[in-house]
Amino acid sequence: MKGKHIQYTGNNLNGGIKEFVGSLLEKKYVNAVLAPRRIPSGESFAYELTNTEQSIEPLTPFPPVIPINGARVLKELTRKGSLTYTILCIMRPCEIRASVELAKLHQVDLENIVFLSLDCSGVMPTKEYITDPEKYDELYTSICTILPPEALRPACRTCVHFTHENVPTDLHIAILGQQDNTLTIIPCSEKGSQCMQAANLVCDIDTTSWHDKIKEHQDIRLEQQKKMFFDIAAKTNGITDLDQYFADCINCHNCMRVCPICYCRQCYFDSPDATRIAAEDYLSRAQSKGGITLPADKLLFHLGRMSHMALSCIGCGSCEDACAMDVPVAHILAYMAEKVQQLFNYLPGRNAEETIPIITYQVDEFHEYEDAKGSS
Amino acid sequence: MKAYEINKPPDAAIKHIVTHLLEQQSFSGVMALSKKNTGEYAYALISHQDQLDHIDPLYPLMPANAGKLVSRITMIERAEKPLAVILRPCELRALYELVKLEQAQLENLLFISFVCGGVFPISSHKKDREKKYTEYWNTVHSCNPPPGIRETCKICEEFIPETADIVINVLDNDISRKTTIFTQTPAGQKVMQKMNLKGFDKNLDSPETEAIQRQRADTKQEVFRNLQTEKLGWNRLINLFGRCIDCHACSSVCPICYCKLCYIDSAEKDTAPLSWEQRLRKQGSLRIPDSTVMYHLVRLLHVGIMCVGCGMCSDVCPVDIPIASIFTKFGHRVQKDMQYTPGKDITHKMPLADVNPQDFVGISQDAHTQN
Repeated sequence: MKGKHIQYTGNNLNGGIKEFVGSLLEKKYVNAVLAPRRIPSGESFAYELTNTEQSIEPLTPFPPVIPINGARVLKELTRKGSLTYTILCIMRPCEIRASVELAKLHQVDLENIVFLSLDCSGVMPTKEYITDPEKYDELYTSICTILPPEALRPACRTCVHFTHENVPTDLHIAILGQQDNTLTIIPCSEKGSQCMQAANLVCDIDTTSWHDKIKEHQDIRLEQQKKMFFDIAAKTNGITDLDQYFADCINCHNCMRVCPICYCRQCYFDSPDATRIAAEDYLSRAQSKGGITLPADKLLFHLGRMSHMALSCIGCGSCEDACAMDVPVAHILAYMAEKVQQLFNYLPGRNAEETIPIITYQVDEFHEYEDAKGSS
Repeated sequence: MKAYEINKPPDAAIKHIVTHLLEQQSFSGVMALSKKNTGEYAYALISHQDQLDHIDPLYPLMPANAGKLVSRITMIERAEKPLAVILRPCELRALYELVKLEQAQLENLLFISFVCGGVFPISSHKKDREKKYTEYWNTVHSCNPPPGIRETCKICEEFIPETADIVINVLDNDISRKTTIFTQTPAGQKVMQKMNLKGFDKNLDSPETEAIQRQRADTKQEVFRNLQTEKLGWNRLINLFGRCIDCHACSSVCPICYCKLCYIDSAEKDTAPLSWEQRLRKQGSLRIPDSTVMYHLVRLLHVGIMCVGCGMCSDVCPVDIPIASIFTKFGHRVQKDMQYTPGKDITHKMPLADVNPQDFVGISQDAHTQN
């Protein structure tokens, strides 16, 4: 794998990225750019689609938070069909993987989309960042900053898919082991190579040392992930444990609302089927158990969501980020998703050509589960 | 108004009443805020008296608006047997609005409520729980606003449940020994008489409630002033709602927002790629999702006149937008103009369902003089 060092005028990598993106726009290789921008009141960021070189200046390609997963933004843009012009989407690896997963679910159209990503060191919890943006900006002086785990979203602390590996990005920016004043761009696809050509850049940098750094970082994350899985396993044995795990949940369904994968317009749990239950049913359930908590389907909602998300959960942590009650919902999903995905040898968002296992049913698989309930 | 006395503190008095309801008065259940075995609080529907130990209706927390929960229970059919519901004044008012919207039914429900001191925000209530709880009751009894309660509770002037069947007074001087119970309806009176309690004439309004009223009204003025919504224009709206992440949690917990699928989430709202392209050409840059401010304005229009100011929306907002205060302020103004108080009287029709051409005479002039 070869890359290219680019010299840039400013002293901040976000600025360097904008110079590069500006040149792609100028050469008309892309017609528009989708990237976050600081909101007017200053305490957060929102995605902006822009098509002029001047309006690139106010963008912040990689801010320290992801208030909305970029895949949800792409869904807004392309749910009704493919774009007629090429856009460059500047997103973190988990946002790209979520977009690809949504494309498999026919909610995103990847036609005419070029992805630009980076070695992601993780983002901060949105609700903490907005309370004191200046304080948190000081921590995040550059996108090269490796934030301490405790400053990160819990999901980011244990994320192992933080680089180009298994992420179908077109262009990748190497961060690990790089200097703050050089921008190292690596094309990762045919589209990516075309971008480099359009910008008259010849890849001449050997990336071996960068790969070594990735391995090092992955080992640290894997270690943290192993520890987290161990903790979760100990906390989730059986229904009583699960009840305790979700004890704080107030059933607001916000985890579902912000999840890039949970795309149904109306969840079963909000639908007439689930909500129009006769008074008598509630009372007879209360009578048979002495009492029931209300709403009655809280744990069922989480279990239902887990079984629906298991194969496609890309572990972005948006669910936990938006939870009003700080229920550690991202970790339990990641733990369960890892197990299910291993079972199907499937990694969500890795490759747009793959199909989701539950829609590729094969007659000749999982005989061991037949045996478990077999004739004996 | 009849009053009764039970020689127990309010918590125990409520348990005493509902135990009687289940044991002697053939009530099928009691719905109340309860402490679960896990130590968390949630509403529960209880049918066995031995489970009544769990109820803790006075605990200053609202994990869900109980009006919305009653709507879940009675949406498609009314309760066949009597059911007691213990809830806060704003929850009862929300329920009344839901009944008008044909989302709930009141038949066979007995409402027990209390003079409400406010609730803690759900996200922060666990911090220093014991200390806050003690402080809460000390300040409520001295007719002061408990520190740390929801902003909408600090400005709520409707803290007396005017339509409840039974009202528990938590402001008595001698609260550790006895509780005064007021009945406001024949149904409430019947319950208390069956308990062989002797009623006497007394008014629920007292110097204490008046003191709270005055102080809440003052705080309300201050909070409304600080919101500075008079200066609203696009810029200020973008500043107010700019950090919204489009999660719509405010609508999913709102007792009034009852639609199963909001227009904003519907397929009708989807924008075609060509339309995005046209807008991009015209504007040069677009924020996406593009409807965060519009969403709040639409919700304000739909909910404003019925908003009971319970504060659930602000509580669940992951980015701390003061939605409840904005809605309360806006609602207050619209409700005043339409002479409508949500949840006050079940026979008052919602202004939007009861259009009278005369209502609108003078609105345009009003707008001119305002500017």
